[in-house]
Amino acid sequence: MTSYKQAFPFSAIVGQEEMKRAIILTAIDPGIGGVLIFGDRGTGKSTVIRSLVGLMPLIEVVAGCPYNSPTMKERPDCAEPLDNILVKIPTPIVDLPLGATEDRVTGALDIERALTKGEKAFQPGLLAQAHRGYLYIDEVNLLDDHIVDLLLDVAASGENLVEREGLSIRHPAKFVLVGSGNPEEGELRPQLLDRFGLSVEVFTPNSVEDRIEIIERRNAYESGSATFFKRWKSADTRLRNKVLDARENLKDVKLPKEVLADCANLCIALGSDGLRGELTLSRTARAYAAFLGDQTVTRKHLKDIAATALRHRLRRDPLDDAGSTTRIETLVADVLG
Amino acid sequence: MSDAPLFFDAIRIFAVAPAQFGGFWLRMRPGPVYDAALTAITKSVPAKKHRKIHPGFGDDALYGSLDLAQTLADGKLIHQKGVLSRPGAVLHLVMAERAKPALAAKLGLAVDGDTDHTLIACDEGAEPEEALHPIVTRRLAFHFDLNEILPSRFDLPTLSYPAVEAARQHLKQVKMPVEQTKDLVTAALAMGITDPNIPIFATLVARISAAYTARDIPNEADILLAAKLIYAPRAIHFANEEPEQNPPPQSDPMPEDHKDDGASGKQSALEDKVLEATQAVLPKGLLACVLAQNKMRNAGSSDGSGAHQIGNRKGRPLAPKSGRPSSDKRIDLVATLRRAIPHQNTRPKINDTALAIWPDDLRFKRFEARSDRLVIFAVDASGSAAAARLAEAKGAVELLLSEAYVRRDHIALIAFRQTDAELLLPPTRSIVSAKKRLAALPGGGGTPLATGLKSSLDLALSAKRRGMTPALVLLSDGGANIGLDGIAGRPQAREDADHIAKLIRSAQIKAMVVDIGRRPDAHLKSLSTQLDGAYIQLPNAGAEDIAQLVELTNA
Repeated sequence: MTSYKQAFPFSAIVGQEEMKRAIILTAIDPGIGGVLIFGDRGTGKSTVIRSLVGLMPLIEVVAGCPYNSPTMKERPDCAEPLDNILVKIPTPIVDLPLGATEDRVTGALDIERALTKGEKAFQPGLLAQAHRGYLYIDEVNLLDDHIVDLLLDVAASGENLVEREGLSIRHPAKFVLVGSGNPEEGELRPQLLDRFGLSVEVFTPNSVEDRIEIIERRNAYESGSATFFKRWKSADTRLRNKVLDARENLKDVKLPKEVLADCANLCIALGSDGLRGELTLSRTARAYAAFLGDQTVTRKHLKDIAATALRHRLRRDPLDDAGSTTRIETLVADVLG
Repeated sequence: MSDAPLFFDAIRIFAVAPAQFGGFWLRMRPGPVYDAALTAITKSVPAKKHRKIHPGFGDDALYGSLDLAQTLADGKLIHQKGVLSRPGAVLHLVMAERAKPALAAKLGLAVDGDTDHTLIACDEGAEPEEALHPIVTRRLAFHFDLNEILPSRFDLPTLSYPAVEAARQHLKQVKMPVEQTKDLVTAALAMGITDPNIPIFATLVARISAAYTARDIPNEADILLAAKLIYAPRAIHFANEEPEQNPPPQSDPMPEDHKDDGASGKQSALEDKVLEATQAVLPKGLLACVLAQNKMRNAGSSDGSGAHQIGNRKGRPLAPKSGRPSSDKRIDLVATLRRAIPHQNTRPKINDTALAIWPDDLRFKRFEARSDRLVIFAVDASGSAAAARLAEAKGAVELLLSEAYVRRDHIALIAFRQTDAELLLPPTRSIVSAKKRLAALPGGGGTPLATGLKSSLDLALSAKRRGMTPALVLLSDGGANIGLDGIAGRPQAREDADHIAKLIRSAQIKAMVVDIGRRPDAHLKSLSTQLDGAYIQLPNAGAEDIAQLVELTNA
């Protein structure tokens, strides 16, 4: 019953290839930006995020540092003095509860210490906790708009700046923002949509075989079956090594002019505002090529990831039942042939 | 829908693996049945800590926090524990229908996460649409509606703990054959249950049921029990109904079914029985329940609309106020210090530098956030409407305008005729310009109802983004005959209008329909249902009645 301690292995999740791929690509290049996952309830959105703990490599941090600083030098000025001991911890995956207040997210004056010791100290928030890892918001469309704004801002700049209650604090906060939601519950503003790097739509699996597989694996997981964990842990390890290799090779992947032209053509055909579309598209294609172990980005890479990188940048058409995925696919076929 | 034996079965099953089932969702009003049901559930998991929570619980009560008042009084740090701080608690949520989506999401995470919490949600809602948010309910395995049950018929036997323990021990050996899993999965799809987690609950029920009789493989009775307990309250439709009439909401499982039927006739026999068993326990007003599920979203997730609200986050600052500290309040430091400083000489010092601040000194920030209201009038200015009662409609709008002026509401005016809709008046408070534009409103042409609604929706959404609370009043004589694409054709026009109406409703914009035709228009009436708003017919209602209705819609 208490077998929950181990997260469900990432590789053991049935189907949902696009969602898994998007998460892996941001693991290779966090600069791609956040991932937005929209879909029905019970499609494994939360499971994927929780399973990341087992997939992602350990990171080295100064022991006890609330900012997950990798070395003593890189600790922010506001941090308390600590001994120079480095420890390895799992990549932080921080769940942002819906009711989180701004104080809790950005950090605020440590009231505790202010009142008992008369000291002015900063109490780091969830943003500091998520540094070098993932920040996950379930039901992102129910979150207060001003908090979402703030999160996207920090995610883009990689730095959290707090100016409140007589504090002026700046600390690094680089994380991949993962938001999930159910479109029936309310939509995100287009301005916010655009600032997520990738977006995926997930659906409940329709085939009976997939559903049976889900149940079998789930039951194996909950009964704590050793063979189950052995099998999928090694799959996770292989995947982790692939991600680490891809990170190494990322800067060597060539991005030819023709591919850039393709990116631009796609975005022009799409009529997307600004240049975020092109930037994300090229970055994602590059990470994808690195993941596949290719040296050069080709049109094929672009085709594979175009829908993920552009889906949420389409102008909304309330009457279009076909959904943005079909529209993107037609468009990609038109432009890239 | 359910009787005592079935409820007792649920408790028996639940007692074996409470955390994996998430918990119970009980719809019932306080009374003898309520007490009996809760006592039975509580007794089924005696080893766990039981905590009562209510919808007003804040973060500090849930997750624990610094006990500020006590800390100040004692001069040292005192933490208070939240109900979720220790793993494995059984939470009793009373008045669950009043839980806000934020609390619901937190509880959903607590049940779902690795903390082994269990939730017993007691929904006391009188109407079907008053219910707990689906974020939580879908994670709770057992759903029961106990409202209809007579106390005399609700006699629960006593649970035997040794039997529960034995079943728990035996559960590890119970394996479910793939064919049975397949039956359960196919049956779920056939009943329109698309959430893949639900069959997982069902397989667990069947396995535990088998474990009670020390069998290693579940038998037919176990599977049927699983269907009765897990599928029956969730079923949307049945395979023996005409699939055309009742298509499943997201997916069409029918092709899968046929494939399976072809593969093996024997399995589908059990599958049929699963369906039958589910049907046997079905409530009469099933469809109403399902509809209510959808309707509930409107009720559950209304996000703080209303004319104004006093909060502590944003808006115009109000005078700081004393109060009990909690994590969602922000301390007003300056006001607190101002309050504490005069008393410093008389208070015992904690040390040389620190100020002695007592709990009474704490002052908290307060803000008043006003969300302005915007009433959007979508006026049909087509030829038929003009001929009919456009003048009267104008009169009604004028009355509403003056009403809006008194309340300092914003108003906007959209007129639709021929093929398009025109924003005659962008959101404004200027009553004069509104009157002028209205008087000059020309009539004539077709009725592009969908286009009018769409413009209103766009306007309402953009207003919402600016923090206003929009409401929509549609004045029309029906007879939509121009589609969204500007092409004439009644069926398409109606379909488009219905579609937009659904979008308006899902955007949670309050709306009402005023029929200004000579005769009531059936389509307009159905449109008002789609909009989930009031429908009134002008000939039967004076302008003042309309004004009152708008009041109601806005309230």
